[in-house]
Parts: sequence; structure tokens; C-alpha cells
Amino acid sequence: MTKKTVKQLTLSIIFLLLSACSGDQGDQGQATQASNQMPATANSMDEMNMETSMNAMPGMTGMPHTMTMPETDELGQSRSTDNGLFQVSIEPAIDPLPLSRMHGWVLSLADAAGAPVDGAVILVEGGMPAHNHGMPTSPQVTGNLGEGRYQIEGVQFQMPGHWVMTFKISADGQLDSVTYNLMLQP
Amino acid sequence: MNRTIIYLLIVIAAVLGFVFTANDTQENAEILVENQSDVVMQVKLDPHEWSSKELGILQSLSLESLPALPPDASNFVADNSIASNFGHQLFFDARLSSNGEVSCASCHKPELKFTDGLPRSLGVGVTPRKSMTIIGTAYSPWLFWDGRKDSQWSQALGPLENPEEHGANRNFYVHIIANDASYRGQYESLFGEIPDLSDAIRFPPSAGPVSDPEANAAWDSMAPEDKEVINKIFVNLGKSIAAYERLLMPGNSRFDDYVESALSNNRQQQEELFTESEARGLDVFIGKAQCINCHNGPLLTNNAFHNTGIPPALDLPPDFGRIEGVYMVKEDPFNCLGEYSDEDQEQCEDLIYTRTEGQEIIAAFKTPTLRNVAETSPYMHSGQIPNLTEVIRHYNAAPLAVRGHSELATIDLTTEEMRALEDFLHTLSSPVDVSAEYLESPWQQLLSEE
Ligand code: HEC
Ligand code: HEC
Ligand SMILES: [Cu+2]
Repeated sequence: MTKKTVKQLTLSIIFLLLSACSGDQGDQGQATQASNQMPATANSMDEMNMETSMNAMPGMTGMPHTMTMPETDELGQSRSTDNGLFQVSIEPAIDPLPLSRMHGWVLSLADAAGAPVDGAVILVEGGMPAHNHGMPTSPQVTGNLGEGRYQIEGVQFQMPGHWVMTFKISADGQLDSVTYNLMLQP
Repeated sequence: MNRTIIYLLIVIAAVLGFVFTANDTQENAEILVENQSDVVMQVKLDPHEWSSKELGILQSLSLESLPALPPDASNFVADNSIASNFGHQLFFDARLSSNGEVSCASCHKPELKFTDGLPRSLGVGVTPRKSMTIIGTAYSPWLFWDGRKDSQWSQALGPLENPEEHGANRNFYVHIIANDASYRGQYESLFGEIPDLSDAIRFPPSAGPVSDPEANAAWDSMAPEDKEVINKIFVNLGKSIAAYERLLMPGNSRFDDYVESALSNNRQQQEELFTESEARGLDVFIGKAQCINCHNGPLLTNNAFHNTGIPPALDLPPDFGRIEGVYMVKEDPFNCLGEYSDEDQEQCEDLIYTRTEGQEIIAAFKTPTLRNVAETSPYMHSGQIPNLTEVIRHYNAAPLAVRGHSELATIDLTTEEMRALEDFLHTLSSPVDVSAEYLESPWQQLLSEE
């Protein structure tokens, strides 16, 4: 046996074994590349298909490709926007997040130093990357409550599973955005 | 050479290790079986055993989880029993049609769970869409396959003026009420006196914003304040019909009883209530097939709009579903924000925030309830699919949409799983939870009482 044939044999065995462990696990390689927090074993189709369908998602253009796939959601976290310009935290009126029920959120916005930012323009978008669809509603910021707090109305999720919510923030002539991963329980 | 063999062994070990650890994480005892196509899959050893997470899902689908019906702020007679009796009579009255033969009950037959068994309904003409059940629609923020109505009362006005359904117009109906002593009495006890409508110039016997050119011209000739008089009465008929429809709620199905026995861990009762196949079908429904992505909550609908790639009926003009329905409901003078709604405008959130654009609402249709689904064939918005076996095949294959983009992905169900899923769908039938007189025509009752 030459080195070359052994190599070929090795490759074909690996290939066979990989394809034998069912279709959805075949995507594993791809999905792992696309994420920096991939759980050791993905337990649903949703999580597996996520990377491939991201591009096609309506209203979600400009969504960063390397996104996290959380086991639990990032709802309670205070987070920095992508370019570090702002800090954001969100607080839904209903806990845990309800399925198929409209409700409001309060978003708190601060600058990098932690000082509240008022008078910002905030756009809200959301969707399920694995299913290629957005939200059933178009949530709107309906008021600035002061001290960097903004009332958002019209939030609704029509399916259980992995959701992403993106907030595009423009304040003091600066633009930045932050994306939250959420898990809606059935 | 040696090194290559070692390398090969390591890789094999790693791959095998991966396969086994991936399956270790399953919550229930499961075994690996290989079916004909050599696909490795998991089968639950015991179909009646549910993990705590699964029990939570089952509970969320059970009628026990249905919240008490919230008041309908848009309709001040919604819970008035005089209105529901009046509405009951209107619902079954074929005089309310251009040919004297069509009532709401022609296409919403109580014995067929308020559907009609047809792919497309027969009224004065033939409708382009399939009839839908009315049971439980008091919970629905959107009515019709495309959600072009946002309340039960506003919905009821649609078929009355639709040329394919009741085929007449608002002046025609209002005159019937005004000229029938019993109807007039019931109406006036609810809504106050009907003004004198005998001037046929001011109030033509046939007039309304409808497709019939004569009735349409007659409507255009009316003074705005006279139109207003007619509109108010017309709307009140819708509100009375809605008060009747609100009574039509699903009763407990075998599925609901099964969930209760599973939650109380009553193994014997579980086995009495569900066959092994039905229990496996339920597992497929909430698990592998992910039907609960859309058919969720106690009414088994998320009340949202989805494109599921149902092939359009070939002999019909293109049907774009929600993307057209959303514009119709936004512009409807009888919507939540309109002057005829009794609602405080702040409460119209569904209408205000609903999505009006995006490819996913192109050719998207309302997720229908699956309660009683085994009794309401054929299926889908234009009755394209004749039976549940074919419905499940559709979901399994997930064909591309002809218009817009289907949200579905292929599922890879085995023949057994498909059969089990179908068996499960048969457990969702139940009687309507309302006293029997409301499931019959009041006109037969009135006749037999004489
Ligand atoms: C000719 C048959 C026909 C008649 C008559 C008819 N309907 Fe319907 N009904 C339908 C069809 C078809 C649909 C679905 C239409 C669509 O989506 O465009 C429907 C839909 C509905 C819905 C929506 C249910 C849901 O889940 O969204 C309700 C409620 C309803 N009808 C009530 C009524 C009432 C009340 C009347 C009498 C005033 C009536 N219908 C008369 C055929 C009929
Ligand atoms: C992506 C959301 C979605 C998923 C997932 C889904 N459905 Fe549906 N279902 C719908 C919509 C929307 C319709 C109506 C489609 C149409 O008429 O164009 C429908 C229609 C149906 C109907 C016909 C009901 C009627 O009255 O005509 C049945 C039966 C059904 N679904 C069963 C299932 C089963 C079983 C599954 C799992 C295999 C499933 N659905 C998964 C959204 C969904
Ligand atoms: Cu989804």
C-alpha cells in the first residue's frame, strides 16, 4: 500500500462515517465555523440550519455572520454595541418572554462611559434565522422615558425557538448596533 | 506507514466518539434503529413517557391553558344574551341573501364543525377560498385566511356584501330588519330606535359599496348622513352575529384528557385514552416534525401568517394572501381604529403594529386551528389538499412555494411516523362547548314550538 492510497482510504472512511451519522449532523462543520460559542452538541434542527439561512433572511441584511448560538438567551445582559459606542440593556414587560402575545420592552441606552443617552433614534428588527422570517409585527420606539430609557411597543414572537433582535442606534451623529440572541420557550 | 494507520484509527475513534456522545444527551431512553433507508434515527422506547420539558409543552397545548375569553372592547354587546340570540337567528336566516337561499350556516354548518366540507364554498356564487371553522375564533386577532378583518363583528359584514356569498348589500339587509316586527323589536331593545327608513329615495331598497353597479350607484347617490344611519345599523347586525359566534368554543378532546392523565402520571388512563400510535404521533407533532412552531397554544394556532408552499389552485387568479389582506384591514372603515368600533384606540395594537411588508408575508396564510381537524376536510386556503394523509406528505416533502418563499424544511418522517401523526390529529376532535340549541337553526325550533 502506498501512502497515497492510505490517505484516500482514510478520507473515504471519514466521509462515509460522517454521512452515516444523519443529515443534520452533516452541517455541524459549517455551523461551528460560523459561531464562537457553539454548544458541544446541537440538539435541534433550528440551531443547525442557522448559518446557511442567515443571508436570505428578510430585513436582516447587515447581520453579522459570526453570531453566537446560546443555550440560554442573552436577554438579561447589558451589552456593548458592535463598535463599542453604546451600552444597551433590555427589559421586556412580560417575563418569561411570551409566545404570540404583544407586549412592550424598555431599552436602556448609555454611552461607553456609562452616561445615559437621551434623544437617540432606535430601529428594532427581529427574526428567526433558522426559518427565514422576521417578526409578525414592526415594533416601534414610542417614547423616550428619560435617563436613557426608551419605550418600545409592538414586540411579538409567533414561534418558539432561537430569535435574534437587532437594535440600530443613532445618537449624537454616531451609528452603532447590537444584536441579542433570545430563546423563546414553547 | 505506521503513522498513517495510527492517524486513521484516531480519526475513526474520534468520529465514533462524536456519534455516541451526540446521542447521550437525549433526555429519554432511546435506541438507535436503522430503517430501510439506513438513516440512523431515534425511537422512544415508551411512547407514554414524557420528559418534564415535554410535559410542559403538552400542558401549553391543552384546553386547560386557554385563558378566560377576554372582553371584546370593540363590541359593547359582545356578551349580551339578547344580542347572541338575535345573532343566532341572523346566522341561520337565508332571507339575508340576494337569492333567499344563503345564510352564514350554508357554509358554516354546525354538524361539520362550522365548515362545509367543500374545497371552495357555494353561496350565490363560488368562493375562491375554503370555508373556515368559527369555533374559537373569538380568540383570533385576525379573521379570514389573509387576516383582512380584525374583529368578529367586522368579519361578519364581509360575506353579507360579497357577491359570491350572500350577494346583497347593506341597505337590503337593513330594510329586512326594519320591516320584520320581531327583528325590529330585538334590534331596538339592544341599540335603540331605528329611524324611519320608508323614503325610498333617501334609503334605496338596494344600495351599498358593492360590485353590483346598480346598488353601487344607489349608494353613491345617498347623503352622507343617511349612509351613516345605514352603516350604524349594518354594523350592529355584525356585532349581534359576533355575540352569537363568541359562544362557540371547543370542548375537551381526547387529547386534552390524555394531557391531564400524563400530567398526573396516571399511566393506566394514558393507555386507555391513547393508542401507542397516537402517543407516538403526538411525540412527532411536538418533536421531530416541529408542527408546534406554528400550531401552538391551546387552539393549536399562533394566529400568525406563514407561507407553507401550498400549491395554488390552478383555475384561480393569483392569491397573495397576507400581503394583500394587511392592506385591506388597514384601510377598512370597520377596523379597530375606525369610528364604528367601540374600542379605545389605544387597544388596537394588533392593527397598529402588524407587519405590512417583507417577503415572508407574500402568499402567507393564517395558521388554522387544528382542533376538530379530522372532521373538516378538505384542507388549506383553497381546499387544495383532500385529506390528512396528503397534508402530512406535503409537510414531509416541503415543496418550494410557487409564490413567495415557503418556510418549511423537509422532515424525513418514516411511514410509521406519518401514520402516527395522522392518528394523533384524530384525537383533537370534540363537541362544541355550548348548549345544544345554539347548534341548530333557531328557525326550526321556532317552527316546532308553534
Ligand atoms: C358562501 C359561503 C359562505 C357564507 C355564506 C359565509 N361564509 Fe364565512 N367563510 C367562508 C369562506 C370561504 C371563508 C374564508 C374566506 C377567505 O379567507 O377569504 C370564511 C371565513 C369566515 C370566518 C373566519 C374564520 C377565521 O378563522 O378567520 C368567519 C368568522 C366566518 N366566515 C363567519 C361567517 C358569518 C358570520 C357569515 C354570515 C354573515 C358567513 N361566514 C357566511 C364561506 C362563507
Ligand atoms: C410554518 C408554520 C407551520 C408549521 C411548522 C406547520 N403548519 Fe400546518 N399550517 C400552517 C398554515 C399557515 C396553514 C394554512 C396554509 C394554507 O392554507 O396555505 C396550515 C394548515 C394545516 C392544516 C390544514 C388545516 C385546515 O383546516 O385546512 C393541517 C392539517 C396542518 N396544517 C397540520 C400540520 C402538521 C401536522 C404540521 C407538522 C408536520 C404542521 N401543520 C406544521 C402553518 C404551519
Ligand atoms: Cu420560525
